[in-house]
Amino acid sequence: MYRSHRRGIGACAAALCVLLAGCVGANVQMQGDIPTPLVNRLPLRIGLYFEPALVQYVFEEKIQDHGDWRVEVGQMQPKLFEKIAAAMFVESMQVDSITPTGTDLDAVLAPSIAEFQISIPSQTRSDFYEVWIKYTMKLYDIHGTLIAQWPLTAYGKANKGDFGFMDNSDKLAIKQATLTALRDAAAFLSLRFGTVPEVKTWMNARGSTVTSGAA
Amino acid sequence: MTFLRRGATAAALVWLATATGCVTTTVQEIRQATTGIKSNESVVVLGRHNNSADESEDDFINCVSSNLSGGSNKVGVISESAFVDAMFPWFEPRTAPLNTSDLPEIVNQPILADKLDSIGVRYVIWIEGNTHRTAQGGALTCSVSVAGAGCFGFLTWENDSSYEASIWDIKHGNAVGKVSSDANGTSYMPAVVVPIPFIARVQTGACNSMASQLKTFITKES
Repeated sequence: MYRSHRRGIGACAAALCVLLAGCVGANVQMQGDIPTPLVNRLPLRIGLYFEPALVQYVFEEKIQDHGDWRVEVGQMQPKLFEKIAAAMFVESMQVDSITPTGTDLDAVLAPSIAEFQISIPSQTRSDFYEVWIKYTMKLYDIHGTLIAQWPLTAYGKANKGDFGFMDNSDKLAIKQATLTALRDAAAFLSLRFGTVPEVKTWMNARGSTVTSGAA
Repeated sequence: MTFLRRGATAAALVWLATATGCVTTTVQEIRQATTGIKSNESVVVLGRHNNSADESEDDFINCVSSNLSGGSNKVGVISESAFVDAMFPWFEPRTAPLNTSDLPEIVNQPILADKLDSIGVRYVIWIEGNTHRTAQGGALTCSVSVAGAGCFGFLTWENDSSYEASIWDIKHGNAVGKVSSDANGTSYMPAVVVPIPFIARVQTGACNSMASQLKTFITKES
């Protein structure tokens, strides 16, 4: 009787674990590396200003019946933009304000995250975890005057079939989708920077040739 | 007697481990230009990631890459991730060339042409398609009691794979042909106390057929 009772409790616990596993969500700390973009360098010296809200950005959402989802994406932003800028411009450095002093820069680039969204397969009835990141990119001259402001939209997805049925498959898949979105952001910034109309006008006025990426 | 019983048990286990359902595969090839590959040249197998509906599984891409780089007539293969990272950001899901008409923009840029030369890629093989379940039936019930556990019933399901590979010659900037591989098979799982699966390895069948045909297609100078 006692043994039977213990078995019953064990079975209930196992069933509960299976049920809970289906609604725990995921907690992701973004790490990883973005490759160096293979683009022609623009003859610009650019400062990179990362506002605290960007560096500390954490996405949190409670999805009904699917738990709490949290993606710490902020800490990866400086690494991401420093790598892109190093490949895109002849010189780039991190600055502590949009009006840096004591530097010989042409402009300051200040990215911020305007929106971050995720979707999981059970929401969309598809096989994909998806991530959208909408950045607002601002380019200032060294006196803090806005030269250009444009949206940079990034998208990444991950096929649930590639992550099996392990407990942490949600976490791995949303991490992969976020990393793909960050790569997408890097790709479009490095390829399209010189084609943003206000940036192009400013560069032409300075006599900088637009030769970056697919410009 | 004990020895015979052990032998029979071992044979049964080997049979169970190797038992598979039947898979039927069909491979077709369309040649648009001559091919051939030198010993210092390689190929890369890439999945199309711009269209969710036809996106191939990572397993399939890895399987084709692995089969191309092994066995007879093997060719040099660069992994998808190594190639995409080396060519970043030109082969990302939203920036990758969709047609060969987009290739000149890449191969005519000195910085990219140099990189392609250094990694030695001659052919890019784009793969589209996937494997999905087309039918399923039957019922299987399992129960656990104080006396023990067991299952009874019969399950069956049918999988269908459909993949197409487009082969681009990076050196000449043109499409040289297509290879398609279709496979289907039915898996069974009868259960009398213990469920015994007979899995039809449909995706593996499609992968093996496609890789074999791709090897012939690329290496045969015609």
